[in-house]
Amino acid sequence: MHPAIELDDARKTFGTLRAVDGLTLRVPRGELFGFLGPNGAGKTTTIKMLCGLLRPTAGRVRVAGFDPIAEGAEARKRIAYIPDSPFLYERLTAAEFFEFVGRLHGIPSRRIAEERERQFALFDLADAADTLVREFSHGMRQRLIYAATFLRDPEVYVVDEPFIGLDPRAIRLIQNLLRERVNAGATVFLTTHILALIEDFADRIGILQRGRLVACGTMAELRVHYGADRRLEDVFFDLTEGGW
Amino acid sequence: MSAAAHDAPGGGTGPLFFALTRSGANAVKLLRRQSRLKLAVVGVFAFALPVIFYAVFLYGLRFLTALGGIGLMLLRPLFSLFFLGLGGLLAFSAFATAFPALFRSPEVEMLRAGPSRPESVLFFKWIETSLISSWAYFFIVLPFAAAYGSHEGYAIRFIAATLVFSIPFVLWWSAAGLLACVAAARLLPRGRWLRAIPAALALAAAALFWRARPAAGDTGGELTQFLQRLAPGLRISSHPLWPSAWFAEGILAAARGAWARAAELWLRLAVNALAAGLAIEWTARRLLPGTWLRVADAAGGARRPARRRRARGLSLPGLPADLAALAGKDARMLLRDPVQWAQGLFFFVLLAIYFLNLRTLRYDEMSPLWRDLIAFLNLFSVASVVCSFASRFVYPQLSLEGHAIWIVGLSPGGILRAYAVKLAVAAGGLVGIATGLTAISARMLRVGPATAGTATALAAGLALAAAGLSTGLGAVFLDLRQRNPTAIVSGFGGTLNLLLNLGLMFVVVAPAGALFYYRHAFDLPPDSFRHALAAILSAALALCLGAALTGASLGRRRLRQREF
Repeated sequence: MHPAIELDDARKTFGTLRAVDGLTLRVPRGELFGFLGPNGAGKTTTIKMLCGLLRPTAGRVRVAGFDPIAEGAEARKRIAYIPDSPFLYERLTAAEFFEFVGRLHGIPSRRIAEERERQFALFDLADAADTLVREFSHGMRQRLIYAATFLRDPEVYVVDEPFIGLDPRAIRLIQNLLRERVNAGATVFLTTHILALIEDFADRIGILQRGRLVACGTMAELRVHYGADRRLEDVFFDLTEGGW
Repeated sequence: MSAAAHDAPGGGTGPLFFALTRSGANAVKLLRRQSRLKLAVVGVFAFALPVIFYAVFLYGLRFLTALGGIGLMLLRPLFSLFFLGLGGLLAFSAFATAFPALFRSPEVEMLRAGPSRPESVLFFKWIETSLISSWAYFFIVLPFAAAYGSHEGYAIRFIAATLVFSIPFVLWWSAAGLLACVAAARLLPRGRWLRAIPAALALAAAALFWRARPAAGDTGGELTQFLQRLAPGLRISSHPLWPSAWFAEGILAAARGAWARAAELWLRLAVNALAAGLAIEWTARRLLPGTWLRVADAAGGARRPARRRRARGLSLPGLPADLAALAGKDARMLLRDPVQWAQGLFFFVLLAIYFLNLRTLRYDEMSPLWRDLIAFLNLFSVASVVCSFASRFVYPQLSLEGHAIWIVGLSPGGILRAYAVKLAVAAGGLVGIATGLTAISARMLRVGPATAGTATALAAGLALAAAGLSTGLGAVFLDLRQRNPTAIVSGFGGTLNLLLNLGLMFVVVAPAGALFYYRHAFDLPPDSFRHALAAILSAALALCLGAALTGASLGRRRLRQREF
């Protein structure tokens, strides 16, 4: 079986800027991978290559064994991308947006209705089902996008900065739900700047610096390399010094 | 995870139309929450505009009928020219709407990361673009159809035929604009070569303008001149391969009851619209994915060289550092948001092109009465665009500071200094544009110094008033919750500002225009004219200055009292 995510010497340049510079990485199925790096390190560019939104300048990118550009339709069936500020139709109600996502993915109406009950209860959106999205707070928008993403149950979740602007309860909820998906066999590839959260949450961690992967492994493996008593934050600062 | 999900069909246009129709229905429900003043203004405009168009078309048709045989002969070619012009505007509008909708919208990025097929996205955008770009078309075409129908005595049949023919016609031209947009995004060079294109287009336009100048010594009556000017356009627009020619002939045939001919021409349009649909599907499958990636590559590389950054530092000679920083920030914010300023620029450039072509249209050879009348009508055009621009872009400026208002609010100069800078930048920009355009119009029309001076002074006064009122009322009705300028403008304060500006424009321009008309029509004695002009001009400029000062001081007072 193919790994969930494969990048072989992937490169992406914009003019003279090397956003991603020879990135090689494999994320097996059923893993929660934390993808870290300072601002401008190339995390979002990598994510966009995984989602087929950017074409690699060189190298090879695969999602569930499919090339996101050449076999885009197959790759997109298996991946869900949740950006840090996801697009939502402002003039749809939460229930209508949920139905839209379900129909977009060809999910039968009955299942959409059943899942809406379940997911809206889970994400505490039941009372806001008929409220327009434009009236939602940031936290409610994030919960709605997760509810709609969980409806389609993809193999690979690519999540960009999932915890920004969320209250502790919502963060815990999303952590638990992502972990449940991983336990059920899905793969989660997420970026965050909240190092304390990811340290105990991710199965493996990769640190990107100026488009290159400068460290990758479990927290225990990173400690072997960088010091037994060191926290992720210390390792991150050592590896990304002068990162801006 | 569900294995069945991989086999689910998905990716079609159904969900996109579902979102579109539900959003539309919810937008209608939201009307209840809009300002009543705004709804009343929109309602009055929506009613008045078609009525005015109807009256203008009816007058034109009566003029053609009065010409006798030649007028009737001209009717069908004129229809073709009219619909070719509308078709061109539809295509341009679709082109301009499609680029941000296809290549800059977060919606399309979301759809691309999901299961939507490029064919579904482009087909949906075709229909959506047709809807967005065609509302103005229907605002013009329906009064036209009503005018011609009532002139000929079969209004309902003609309106119905026009509507039926409009559907494939709009779709065809929208497809042309959309396909041109994808082709431009796919094929146009980048970087410095892309920047060279506007310069090349400007040169080409200047060359065409030079070539189209009327030859010296052209003579003949006004009708002859009119027909000479029209002839090349009529020849092109009446070519039997243009959809506009089928449209014109088709609706006339339907109105006359020649159903077989009308059906044949409608089918031609419909088949071509369907062929455009096939071209869209082919383009979406073969070109669109690569074009998306090309545009994304170009957007990702936006880095400003350090050398240029230094050269455009925040210091403006002769200005204190904080004022220069505020003015520089406002100018950069505007310049780096082309979606915003391009709308205003579009109207100003259109006006400038029209004014520069006044001699090509030989308006400068008309009688002094007509030239003065056109000069004041042009002043109306300039003033209404300035009013709209000020209401749309100047009014929301302070509100757009939003949550960042604390940065300028807590600076040593405080919020009042930022307010003064916004007022000065708005006044300087608007006065410069308005006087420049009015001076071009006066020069191209070869009007006398009295007309040119009066029109330019009034343009300056109205622009100053628009800047004062819009900045001042923007401060009075400050809305720090909204980040969307359209939402800020559409409230009570924004509507009131637009109404005050438009009202002032009529009060200021109409008396001066009327005076110049009566001067020629009734041979006013020079002394009487001079005295009346001095009185009208003084009163108009005092009114403009009063409006500017009142608006500015109201805003200043409100800001001083306001708690943030």
